Amino acid sequence: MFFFKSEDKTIPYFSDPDVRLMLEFQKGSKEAFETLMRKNYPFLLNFIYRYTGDKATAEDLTQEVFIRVYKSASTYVPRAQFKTWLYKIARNTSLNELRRYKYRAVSLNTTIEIDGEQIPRQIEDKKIRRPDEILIHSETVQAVKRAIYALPERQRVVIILRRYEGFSYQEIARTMKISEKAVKSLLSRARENLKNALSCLIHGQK
Amino acid sequence: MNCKDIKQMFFVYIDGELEAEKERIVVDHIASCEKCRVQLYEYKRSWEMLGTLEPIEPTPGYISRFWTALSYRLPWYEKILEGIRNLFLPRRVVYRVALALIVLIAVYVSVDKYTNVLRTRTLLVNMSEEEWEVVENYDLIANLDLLESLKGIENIKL
Ligand SMILES: [Zn+2]
Repeated sequence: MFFFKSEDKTIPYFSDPDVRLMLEFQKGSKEAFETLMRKNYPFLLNFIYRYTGDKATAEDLTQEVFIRVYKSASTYVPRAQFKTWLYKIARNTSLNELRRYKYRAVSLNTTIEIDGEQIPRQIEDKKIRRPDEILIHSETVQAVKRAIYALPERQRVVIILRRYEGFSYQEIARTMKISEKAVKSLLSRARENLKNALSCLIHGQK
Repeated sequence: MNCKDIKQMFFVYIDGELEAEKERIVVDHIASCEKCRVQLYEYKRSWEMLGTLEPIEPTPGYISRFWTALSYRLPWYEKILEGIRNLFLPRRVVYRVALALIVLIAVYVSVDKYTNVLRTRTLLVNMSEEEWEVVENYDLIANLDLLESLKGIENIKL
């Protein structure tokens, strides 16, 4: 265990192709930066889209994240996998933006606060539902969007990274600067909350 | 194992990462426990439901939009550096070129001043006696008009 930990510090992450691209960009290759963008922009866009619940905001913020990456190039030293570093910036950027504008893509009226945690209320628009497949699908999408957005911030990040970005527990821990144990705990609380938020739809489709 | 213990293993079970032995315990339990069976189903379904939120595509031209947005955001000196950088020079080289330019200008200015001093010195050494007289009385000659007018004032007083 200790052996691996000390080894981690000495590996300068050169095995990560994106770290190498970043270092190439640092030496002046604009192409390297564009390659980095092409590779990571779509994923990052979706992370922010799920985090904020709004496509236009996600586009703006993704651009902002890459502007930050560009500007930090001259002082860039690889201390982590590129992915963890990038998502860390993405999370901070999105969080700042939401705080600054108190932006709400989806109404938060669907949540109530219990023990300092936001717990989604039961979805109330039951009566609008019709046995139409497409309608049910789009309704599910909306409910999922709302349920994710209603999660407390840390639970939301964990769920998105795990469910959509395919991060390992270790990668999530590094991105969020918390322990793996904390990741697991946040993840199970998030799953509990999501289950409660979507329970109405789950049984409706049975 | 009671329901609470079983519930602890649900998420790992859903992720398909539970060891075979523990997996069998979970399967056996939910076969006989209605409450846990419903709960497991709910966790599983809600996890699957998250998949209905499909990924979005970036709107086309996002890379060129990025460069435009960036150009508005850079301060003027960064823009100049960026211009030099576009000549395919590495960033470090750009900083070195900038530094070299500053040093060159400083050297040029000091050399220029130094040669001026030298030139003046040789001129003074090679001057004839008459020329010396002119130089020594330069102020007097330059202000001759003024002196004459002053003389006029003195005359009036006298
Ligand atoms: Zn049970």
